[in-house]
Amino acid sequence: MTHLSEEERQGLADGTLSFERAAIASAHLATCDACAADVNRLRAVVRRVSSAPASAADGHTDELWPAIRARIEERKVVPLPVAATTRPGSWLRERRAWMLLSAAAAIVIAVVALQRARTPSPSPTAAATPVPKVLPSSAATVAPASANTRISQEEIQRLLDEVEMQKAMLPPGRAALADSDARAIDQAIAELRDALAHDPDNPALRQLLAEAVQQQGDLIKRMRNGS
Amino acid sequence: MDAFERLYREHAPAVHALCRRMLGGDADADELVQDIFVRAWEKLPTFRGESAVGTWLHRLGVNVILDFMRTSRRDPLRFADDTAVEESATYGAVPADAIAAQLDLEAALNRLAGGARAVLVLHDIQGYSHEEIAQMTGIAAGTSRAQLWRARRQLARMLDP
Repeated sequence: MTHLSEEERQGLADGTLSFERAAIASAHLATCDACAADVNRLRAVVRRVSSAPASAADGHTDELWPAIRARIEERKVVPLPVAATTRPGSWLRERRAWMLLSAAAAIVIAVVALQRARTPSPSPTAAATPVPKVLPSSAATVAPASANTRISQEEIQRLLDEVEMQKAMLPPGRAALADSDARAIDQAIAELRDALAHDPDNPALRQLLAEAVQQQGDLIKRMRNGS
Repeated sequence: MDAFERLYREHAPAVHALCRRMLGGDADADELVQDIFVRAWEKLPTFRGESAVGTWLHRLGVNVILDFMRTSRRDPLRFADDTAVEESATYGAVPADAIAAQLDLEAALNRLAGGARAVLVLHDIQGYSHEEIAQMTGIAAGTSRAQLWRARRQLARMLDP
């Protein structure tokens, strides 16, 4: 009796043999215990290997991060951000930033209001634009959103990740400028939300908020594109 | 925690497992994981989102590991003399060492020859085709098949003596 070739045995084991050849080889297995046992053995190996877990969750890799971070810091132009709570004296910087941002936010709001005042009659759809879902606001964080689209937290996180990484690769001057724009808009949104909390039915505030969020989305897109 | 650190913490365990399996142990895995993520940081601007970031990262990782294996004295990526796959019905001869029966999969992988192990991991665990493996490693697709078959045979003997 002629036994199956290695190619046929392996192909039967991992399912890569063509349909016609697999049919012929399977017919042989029905009459040959040696080949059948061998193919079953190979199938068990393939199953076991292909079902091996993708990773071992032993937490060991956490220990490697500091060294990786240090190597990255040596190579790049902008330091990776560090949590503000871990930096001594950061409250003073934040206070100064807060004052600057308030001023910038006022400018943004004024510009948007001016644009709105110049528009004779806003479209009905724009007036009916829903207030975007409230996002956690922070001076160091950009919260992406669209005036007309509600996006998931995963999507927001993904965009934030992309922006953070893109931003960290910008030259220091451009990164600082992008940060400044982002913070100003972020602050404007925070203040508009605060105003809306006191006057939730004010359509002008709602429209301003929608436009500010739209500006934020445009800024994030520009940052993602590195422009 | 910044964005890249989040990326690292999400994918590092799988990348470490990839290194360990491709290299046959822990000895150089830590260093390779560092190299892969530093390279990933440098290459990040080239990531255009056509694939999932995990897929991109694994492909980049495989290339870093293969580069290391090509230049490493300890575990070189040798594919020579590997096409002589036995074709008799004597496969699965019981090894003399009965302790081999106790080996788990990871330990068995560690005992495979470098080239055979790399192809097995790339094909059966990572899901690359023989053509892709040939492109990445510089060997012929037929050699990749022969390596895979040989690796499975050796594993069968170690796991089910």
